[in-house]
Amino acid sequence: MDKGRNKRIMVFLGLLVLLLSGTLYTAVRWIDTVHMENQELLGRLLLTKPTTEGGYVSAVEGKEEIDREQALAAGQTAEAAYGYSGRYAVISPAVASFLPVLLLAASFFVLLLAFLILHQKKLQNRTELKLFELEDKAVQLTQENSLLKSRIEREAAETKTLVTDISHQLKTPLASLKMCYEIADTSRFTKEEQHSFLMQGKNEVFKLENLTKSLIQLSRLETNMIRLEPVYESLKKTLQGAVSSVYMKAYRKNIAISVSEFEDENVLQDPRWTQEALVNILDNAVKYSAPNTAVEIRVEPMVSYYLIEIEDQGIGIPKEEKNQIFKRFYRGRSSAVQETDGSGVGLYLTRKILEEQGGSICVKSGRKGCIFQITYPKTSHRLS
Amino acid sequence: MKTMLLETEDLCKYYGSGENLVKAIDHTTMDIQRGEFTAIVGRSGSGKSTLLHMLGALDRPDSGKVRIEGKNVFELKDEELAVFRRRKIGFIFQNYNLIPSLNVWENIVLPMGLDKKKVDQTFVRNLTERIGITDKLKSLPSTLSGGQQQRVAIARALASKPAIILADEPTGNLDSRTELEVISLLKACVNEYGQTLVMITHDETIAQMADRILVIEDGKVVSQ
Repeated sequence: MDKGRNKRIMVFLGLLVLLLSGTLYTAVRWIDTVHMENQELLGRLLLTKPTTEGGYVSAVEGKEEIDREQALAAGQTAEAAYGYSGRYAVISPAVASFLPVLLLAASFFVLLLAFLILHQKKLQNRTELKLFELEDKAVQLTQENSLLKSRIEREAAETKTLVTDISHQLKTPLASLKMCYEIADTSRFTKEEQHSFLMQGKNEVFKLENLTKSLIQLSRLETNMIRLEPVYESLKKTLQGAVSSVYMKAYRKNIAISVSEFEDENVLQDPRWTQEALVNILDNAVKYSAPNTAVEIRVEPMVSYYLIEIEDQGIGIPKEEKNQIFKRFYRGRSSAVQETDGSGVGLYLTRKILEEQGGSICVKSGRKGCIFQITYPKTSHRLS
Repeated sequence: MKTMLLETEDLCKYYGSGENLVKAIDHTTMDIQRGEFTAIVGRSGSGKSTLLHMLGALDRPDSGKVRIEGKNVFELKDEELAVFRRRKIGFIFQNYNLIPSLNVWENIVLPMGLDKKKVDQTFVRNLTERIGITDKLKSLPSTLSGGQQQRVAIARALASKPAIILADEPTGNLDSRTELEVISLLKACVNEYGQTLVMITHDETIAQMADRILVIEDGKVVSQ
């Protein structure tokens, strides 16, 4: 695993080998010395040629003044002369039988040590791995925890702002409705005037109705009360549904809606909500275009997405507002937008529906009005 | 409590001196939440690339801090920083930066090889399928179109499941159709894995797809 430890183990094994060879060398030297002493003793006896018992003793004990080198040489010559040249042939049986015991013991200890080192290394590796995994898991868990916590907090905060936003949206039409009724109720006005205020009140009620409809849809999607139910369904069919639901409105303004020819495919979608997303864009296109214009829908298959472009010849969107229009309750600042009815929910909902299904949306300026560009995944490979 | 993934504190980076002093990053303090898709827009020379390099710890600032998951990355040693970067951050560049002599699959798993990490084969296979390059795995980068090469680069950045993806003008060399597709793909993938995407772009249309837009002017964040 790490280089430092490998190096330490190598040094240790080297020392072990050195020690072992040292021991072996000393053992060989020792055998040599025993052999030489024997030769020297033999030389002494040959040189002194003792005749008495006392003479033998003094020769062996070294009382006689004889040069050691000389004695050794004499002993060696005598041995060679009688054919006893084998150095180890004269090793005493005791030495010969004891040596293997030493060697076996030494190798046993070496093997034991090596095994222990390897085993320990293995254990350590395993522990390190486990520790690493545990640490990783701990980090992941804390991250998951904090993510969940923040998600819950965000949801709570979002619900709060949603409630505030909705009540704010309802306040204005309600106030004007109230005013209409108050005026209609007083007798200071003529019958016609009273009637016209009542009619205006009715209008406000319609507006409120529309607003609550879109708010209900919004809150359902927002609070995950409805889950999108994706099925494989024709993209063309969804598009047709969207076009036909704004067709009458367009017809009244003499706005032509055209769809380019494209090769249809079944895509994974919730047809109802996808249609809703497209309707919101088309509805805006018709609403913010002058009569006798055209809305063009182009569908183009790319590698993994469909590119759906919706181009109108309407009032367009100022550059600095392009980032804002997909925000909840955002309405254009221009008077043309402010004077038209709308809740500021449509495009927000559209983006949410598309993104929920893996698509996306952006807007850019067209030749005259604007072009909404939608990408929608052709086939959805869910990752596991 | 918010889960801050990335934050800078009073970040500065100057080039040159005296009259030629260029303030690439000028006392920038910002933060990016986990799971957020942030677009950094600004004119060329506004310092956005420098900022991204600092966020990815590719370049050291003159002063200030960059914290990733609460850790000040410039306190790490070079070696630690390299490992940290490989594990936490995926990069996508304008010119793809694929290695020409390696095939697509090898290019994708290369960063994991550097980290001696085991390659999660099923995950990478699924990813290449999702990104639509399964039939190109054996090809060399030079035989692919720009859009395909950028798909490979995206797969490479996502393969090691980093927490942050930093993209520097990822669609700068692509036509507008391919651009839309590549960004849609990147966004969908990042969403699916709960990753955080920080993308530099000069294209305001592309920036609309982000959850949040940071505008940089003369080294300063002027609006968020």
